[in-house]
Amino acid sequence: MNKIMTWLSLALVISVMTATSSMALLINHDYSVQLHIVSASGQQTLVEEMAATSDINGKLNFQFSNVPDSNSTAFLMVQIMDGATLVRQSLAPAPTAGQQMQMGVSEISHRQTQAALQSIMGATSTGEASLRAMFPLIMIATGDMLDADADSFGAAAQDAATAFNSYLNMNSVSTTQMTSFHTELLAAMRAYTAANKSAVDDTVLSDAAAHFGMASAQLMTAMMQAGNTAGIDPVLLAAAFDQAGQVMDSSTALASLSVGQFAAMQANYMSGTQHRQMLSQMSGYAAAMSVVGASASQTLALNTAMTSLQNTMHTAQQTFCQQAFGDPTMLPSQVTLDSALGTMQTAMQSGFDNFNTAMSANSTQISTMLASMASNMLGMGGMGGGMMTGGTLSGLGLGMMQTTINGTLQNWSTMMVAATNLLPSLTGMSYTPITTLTSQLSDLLPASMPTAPDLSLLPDGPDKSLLELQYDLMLTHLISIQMATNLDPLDQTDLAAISAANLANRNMIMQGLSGPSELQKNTLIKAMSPMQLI
Amino acid sequence: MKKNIWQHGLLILVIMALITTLSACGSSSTTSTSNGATLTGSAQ
Repeated sequence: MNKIMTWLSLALVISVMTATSSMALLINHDYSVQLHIVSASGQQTLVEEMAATSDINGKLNFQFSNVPDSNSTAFLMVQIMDGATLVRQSLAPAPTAGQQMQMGVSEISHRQTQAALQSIMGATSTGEASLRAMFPLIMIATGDMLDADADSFGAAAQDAATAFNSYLNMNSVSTTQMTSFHTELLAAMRAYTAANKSAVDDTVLSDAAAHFGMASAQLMTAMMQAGNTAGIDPVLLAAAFDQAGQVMDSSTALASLSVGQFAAMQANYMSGTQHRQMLSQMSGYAAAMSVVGASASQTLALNTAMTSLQNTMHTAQQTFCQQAFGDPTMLPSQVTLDSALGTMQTAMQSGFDNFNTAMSANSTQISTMLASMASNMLGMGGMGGGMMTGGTLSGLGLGMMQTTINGTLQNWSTMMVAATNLLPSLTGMSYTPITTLTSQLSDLLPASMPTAPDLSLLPDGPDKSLLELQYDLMLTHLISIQMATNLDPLDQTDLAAISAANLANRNMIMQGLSGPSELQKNTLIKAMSPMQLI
Repeated sequence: MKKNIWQHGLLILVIMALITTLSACGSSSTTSTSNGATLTGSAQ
């Protein structure tokens, strides 16, 4: 009996020892905290070291003054050492001069850092390294993995960063825009590291997971904002993330990963897809509203709806993290991941529906808009010189749109109505409809095809062009919807295919527009596109 | 008189060289960067 107890105790000690790196720090234990600088290519140099003792919850605090800033190094890294053994680490972009930076070091940051160090190896600039270090942050949400898994994620992150960069280059993003994007990205990653300190400071597991989820959601928002600041088309940026996700999924670096580990990464990456998708469209609407000269009430309505959707998306991602990655030391099962993703998608759908309802123009606004368009067209000899009113246009089904296959017609959005403000200044605008869009949609075998309005009696001019443009953008939207239906359940490859097709169709539509400035063309396309959630 | 001028000149050169060397040492050291940036954190 004693012998059995001895063996059991030994087995327990061994299992505790082997699991140490994926559990909280030991209670009331002395550690040393090392501060390193890390170059863009991944070279590490120890700068300073301090002693720290963990508390009763297995947490410890550290502080370094006068740390090297971004003028002298690309990254800072903190490593928690138990004697000569590395137990935790966290990597972050170096602070700007004088910045008071905060950092959370956890089981998750430990694995993200391990992957990032692998990923940035050989990078030739801080910008390139920032992109490579970003992907592990949106791939890894658990600390429960082997060293080899983290290294594999790092190699895949490098592949993803290369694909992301190439896709943006291929779509004419300039070097100046990329440099600006990298700078903003570094700021976003610093904020993420700081937000993770709140997760580490929380002693309640589910609350800590909520903090981590919020940090991830805010990182996503900041990354899309980074693209916006750099002047990169937000729809293109979201598509580039989808392309990167596809390359990541098929990367040979992940071939040896366990099924569970791969599924966790995939779910975490996909949890950000809808968020990126809606953020990209919202920032497009917001930018368009100022160009078209939207009224104060139209702008207020958009801002209110955007804030509400933004909050919904952040809460949804928070809940996703609590459900899927509530315990950073335990890899979730497929059932847990599916359930968490399902809950999140339901919340996203609800936020999307609320946004659409809030931003749907009312009948009075549609009537006023159509009356104004009819008046413009009368001046151009509309209806063969006969009478034309807003009612005539309404009778042709104008001012209405279809947003789902088989869906009923609904009023245009407030953004679409606001876009008609531009018409008086677009006297030379013409649009050549893209005839292949109809065949693209019919080839996907939808349950029914939308009915094109008969515009043959309307005089050529900016008003008719805008109506034709709106119909083509609606077809583009319906093509994406039908593709998603046909490919369901969607993986990263499907999402990449859908967003690439959407982008290609928008580019074709852009080519069909002539007369307005590039800014006006972009504005019209953003404002006249229905909101989409795939 | 001539010798004094040379001695003073030499002394000034030595001091300048010392200042240059010391400031070069300061800028090449990563740990002595005093830009005021701080790093505060927690670990678990």
